[in-house]
Amino acid sequence: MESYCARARRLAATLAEIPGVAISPDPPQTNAFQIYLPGERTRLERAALELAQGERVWLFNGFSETPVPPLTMAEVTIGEAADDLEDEEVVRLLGSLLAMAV
Amino acid sequence: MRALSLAPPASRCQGLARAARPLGGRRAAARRLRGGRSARAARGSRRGPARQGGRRLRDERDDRAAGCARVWTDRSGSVTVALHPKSHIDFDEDGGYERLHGLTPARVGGVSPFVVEDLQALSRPLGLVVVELPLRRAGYKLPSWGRARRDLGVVSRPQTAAALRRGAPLGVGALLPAVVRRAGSARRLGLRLLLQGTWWTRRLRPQRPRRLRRRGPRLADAPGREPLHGVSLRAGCGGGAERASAEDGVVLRTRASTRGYAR
Repeated sequence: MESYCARARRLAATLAEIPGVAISPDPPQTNAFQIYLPGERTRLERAALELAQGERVWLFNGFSETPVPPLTMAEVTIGEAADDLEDEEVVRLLGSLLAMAV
Repeated sequence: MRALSLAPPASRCQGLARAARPLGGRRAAARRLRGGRSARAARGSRRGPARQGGRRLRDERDDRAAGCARVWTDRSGSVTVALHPKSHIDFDEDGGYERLHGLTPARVGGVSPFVVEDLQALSRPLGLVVVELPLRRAGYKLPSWGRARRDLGVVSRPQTAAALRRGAPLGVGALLPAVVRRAGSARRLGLRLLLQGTWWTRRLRPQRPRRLRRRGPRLADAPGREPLHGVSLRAGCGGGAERASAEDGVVLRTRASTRGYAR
């Protein structure tokens, strides 16, 4: 579990460098955290499906609207599955996701 | 399908499979997306949902947790349940504990987990306090270690304490085995902190104190009309199946979905 927490902190710090992206809590207290993305929920959902079909990668299980439009919240839980993705690849995929959601 | 987080829910897998349809059948596609776990198996883990007016609760586990809460409140003489407004039982369950079990919420806390002082500020007698660790909807937040020790009686195994001294992040997995009821903290609230359930019995038995191992905490341990203190633990990873045993009278919650990692 400690390694998952450490990975969550590393990944969160990396993702927080993307313009417009915020992490909560920062740094994560457990192996999971919320990520706030610029963009409307419906567009991000559509982009996530396109990304899943094109890249065969499932980034987030769901998106939630927030009280601060147009920020959308998603959750990341680091576990065994995340071992298949390097932090740099996650950053690239998230960039693609945000670009597709524009 | 690789996944950053946990496996996508079965319903989303089926939606994706319908949209994609390239690889031989929707069911097969859904199964592949799910990482080998069939949609039927996923549905099987949610069988037996409670219903009210034909409306299906999100999850049987939710109803079990609420049922446990009802057992506790019945015995403590108050239907008031103190919980965080962003706790799973309040945020995600569509008011099931109110509609199905007649419980009355006393919502405490804001953007962070509530603390003892928040509870002490309540004027109503409480039948149950539900604590979710970490508090998922608030961003998987934990109380500070000092608060956890003082308010909840969380004690640590030596290795956990050593990790904390090093400033290592506190994993929920490290916290769970370390949670043992400790009378001193509960007395601050006039509560008893009881922790039991199948998960506890199966996973934490080696760490159980001798007195608990001998006979285990029982409802009879709660004297008179003292409010009882339930604990809902949400493990972000490594948790087993959902366990909430009305017989034992404890709400103990971990995430069953962690078993279904997509590969």
